[in-house]
Amino acid sequence: MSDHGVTLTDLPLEGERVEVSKFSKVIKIAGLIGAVTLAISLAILFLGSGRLRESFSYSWLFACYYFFTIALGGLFWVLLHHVSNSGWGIAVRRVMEHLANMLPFSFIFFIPILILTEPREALYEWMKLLHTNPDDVLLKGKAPYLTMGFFFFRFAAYAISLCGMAWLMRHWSLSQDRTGDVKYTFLARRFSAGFVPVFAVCCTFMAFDLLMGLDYAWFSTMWGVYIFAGSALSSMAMIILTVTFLRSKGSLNKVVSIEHYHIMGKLMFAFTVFWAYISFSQFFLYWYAKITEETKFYILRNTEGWHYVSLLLVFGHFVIPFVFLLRQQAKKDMRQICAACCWVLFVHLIDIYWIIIPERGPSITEGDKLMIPYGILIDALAFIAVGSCMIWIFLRSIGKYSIYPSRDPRLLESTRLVN
Amino acid sequence: MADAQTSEPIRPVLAREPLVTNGRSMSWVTNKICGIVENRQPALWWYLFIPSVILMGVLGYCLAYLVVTGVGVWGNNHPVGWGWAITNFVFWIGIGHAGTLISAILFLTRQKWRTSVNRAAEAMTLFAVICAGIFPAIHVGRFWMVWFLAPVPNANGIWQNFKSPLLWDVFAVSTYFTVSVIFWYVGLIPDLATLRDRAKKGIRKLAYGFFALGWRGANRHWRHYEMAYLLLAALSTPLVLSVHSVVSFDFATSIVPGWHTTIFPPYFVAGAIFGGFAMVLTLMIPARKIYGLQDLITHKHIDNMAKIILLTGTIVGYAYIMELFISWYGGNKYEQAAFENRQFGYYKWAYWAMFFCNVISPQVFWFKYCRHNLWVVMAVCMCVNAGMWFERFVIIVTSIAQDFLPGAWDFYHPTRIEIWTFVGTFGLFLGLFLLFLRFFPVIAMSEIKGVLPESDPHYLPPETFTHDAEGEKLSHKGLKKTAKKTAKKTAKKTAKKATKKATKKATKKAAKKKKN
Repeated sequence: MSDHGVTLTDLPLEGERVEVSKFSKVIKIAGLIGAVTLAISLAILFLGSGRLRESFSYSWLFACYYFFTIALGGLFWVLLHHVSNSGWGIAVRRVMEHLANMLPFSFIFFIPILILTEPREALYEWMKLLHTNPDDVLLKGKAPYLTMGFFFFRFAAYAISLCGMAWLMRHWSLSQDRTGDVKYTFLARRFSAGFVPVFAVCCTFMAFDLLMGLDYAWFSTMWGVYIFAGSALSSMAMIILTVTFLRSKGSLNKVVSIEHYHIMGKLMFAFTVFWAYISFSQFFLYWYAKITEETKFYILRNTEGWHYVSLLLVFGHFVIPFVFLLRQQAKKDMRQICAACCWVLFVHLIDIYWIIIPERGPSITEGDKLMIPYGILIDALAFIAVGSCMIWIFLRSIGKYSIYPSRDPRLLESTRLVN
Repeated sequence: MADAQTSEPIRPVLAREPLVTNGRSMSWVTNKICGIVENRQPALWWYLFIPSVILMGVLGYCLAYLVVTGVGVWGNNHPVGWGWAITNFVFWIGIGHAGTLISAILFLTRQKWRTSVNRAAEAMTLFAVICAGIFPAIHVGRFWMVWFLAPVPNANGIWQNFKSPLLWDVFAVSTYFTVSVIFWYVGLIPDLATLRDRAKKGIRKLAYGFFALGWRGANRHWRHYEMAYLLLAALSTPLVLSVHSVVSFDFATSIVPGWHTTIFPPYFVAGAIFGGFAMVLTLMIPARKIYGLQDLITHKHIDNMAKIILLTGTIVGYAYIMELFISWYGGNKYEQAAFENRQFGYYKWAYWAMFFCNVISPQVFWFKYCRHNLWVVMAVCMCVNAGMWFERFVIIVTSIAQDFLPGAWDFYHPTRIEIWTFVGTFGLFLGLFLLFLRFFPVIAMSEIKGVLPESDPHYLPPETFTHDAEGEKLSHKGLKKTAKKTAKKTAKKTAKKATKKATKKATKKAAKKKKN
């Protein structure tokens, strides 16, 4: 219980700009590392050949999808915020908006593995089968969906709709900063209600196309919800970390209090449980029914070394954060919550890794090997390349506008938040 | 505030809609809610209660007839062993979900609007679970052996199959019922104490006094109470998810086409919340009108619940479409056939009725007009009530009536006994709910007082807000004027009423005198 006594007169009308100069070093380093690793990565993707290139396409997909899910979650939180007419999170909403606006960049990163024939055929077997064995019974059955034209059309549709929604949401928010007109609040609320179903469809089918499609024979109705659960969770962790980073640089201190951390911690806790519920249900139903075409996904991931990764997910993605975040103190103590966020981002990384990479060995070596020996190195390369580029773009975008919506009509409600 | 001087506010502050309208005071809330219990029930209460009791009798007759004669009186046949009984079970258990969602999850997420509807919704949950519990119990065939469901040691050394979701159901539902009863009762204690303090006669005072557990409203009482309530809310939250997830496992762990799909658990939970909220509105909209609770259950509350119905209905629609898509994409011939049979087979009317009621009809709630027109809201809720029953019917009957062997296919239709058993449970449900209205405070008085503006220590004066909740600009001068006007009007009205009453009394007295 704390009333911070913040009134509107304490908050300047034009809001508060982050002084990018305070962390220009971080930006520079990220940019430098990003440039070097990106150059190597693109060289492998465009100029490489053979198994290295094929293996690296998996690494690239893993890195891209990981950062894509975080940006996607950012959009979810923005939409949820508007549609539920929430007041608590106005102070941190701009951070969510910036995160959501990383979506266009994350879509750009996907492009190399989709336009280059060899990498995309290494990833998606059905694309190869389309011309090597077009009479494949299973593929024929899925023909209208699994065709190149429709695949690219869908990808473009996801990109346009998701990026468009993210852009519009921030656009209205920024317009309100300038004019202080309440109509933007209502505009955003109305449109975000309509956007939620679009978001759900895009999130689901993107996960079907790019992740479930790695093995075109496998399927699960829960898949979209599963990917969504991880996205929302990791994104909330990223939001908390960003807010803490900005606070450590002297921004946001007037508007964000420990009460906001408490709420965000609770949401992270809720989504930890939700993820566990969804992933357990999916695993459990396939395990219980024991139908070959369904269990193959889990059999692969419970074989040899992957078995330990699966166990790590059970404990790391659910048990540890669940027990840790259960206490109120953990959500109200900045250090503890940030530690939890780092952990959540790490296990989400493992989750995406565990979804994509086990398909690589059997697919590239035609069932000969489970893992590629140097795999982890190129995965790390891809991760660093995409990651540091993302950090570079994200930190630069943060300084452009006020770091909280300074004329939002619910700003006072948010700064006076009591939990 | 320098901005206040200029005519155009450059920094807007939006107000929130009040949860209690017309500026009702705390004593008004107490008098209103306690009055329902203390005064005579309106005639309509009896018109509803008597048929409910008759239907309860019908239910009793059907159950007795079933037990005496055997399950042959039902339409169950060889492939369709589950039929109406399990359909009704899942239907009622689904209805029982909104209560705990409102009381637990909305409590944890600090949704204060829940206070007006949580008590009634929780009561409804309990009654729905009671109705649900009847069906698996009678479905075992030999009702007197129903204790075999519980893992108790017995002379034959026979134990249940612990790997069976049907057994988990027994645990899940009984846990849910127990926790819901405790949660409901704990929430009732302060209000029961209020009723006790107001009671004048012996039995009433004794009964409310007994159940109020010596509540005195002391600081220490409140502290323990609030902690207990929070912990119970946290404990019941997983139950909201678990019960219907386990119910969905009854189907999804099998390999029956149309049942075995991974989205079943969250889809069932969303469906249950959907159906539960529709039933809450079905009961509360008339109750609100009959007892004059419009200031406590406002349009805002109905609007919120309509939005939840829209959301969960759309989630259910998402699940239907996912099922259809994956049944085609998965390439499993049996799965494809099951969905083809659902859509175009014997039972296609049930499938399309379900689809219309659950997915199409709630879409009208996109429009504010429909959320605010109570007739539309009631019509949609009725659709949803029916649609959720059809959903369970479609899932259960279409999948097993036409299973793997075409030679074993059979058509299922219910007998009169089955139909009347189901209708009878409505009598039981409504009868219990009416008794609840008669004997318990229908709205949580202590909680609703906590959401009144005067009990908020961080209360912002109305001048802070530049716009009302709808985005209309507020002019505080105008506000004061209109407030004065309304005050004058109400004063006039009450004065008129008083004079009317006085004249009535006078005429009565005069008449009496004349008689004498």
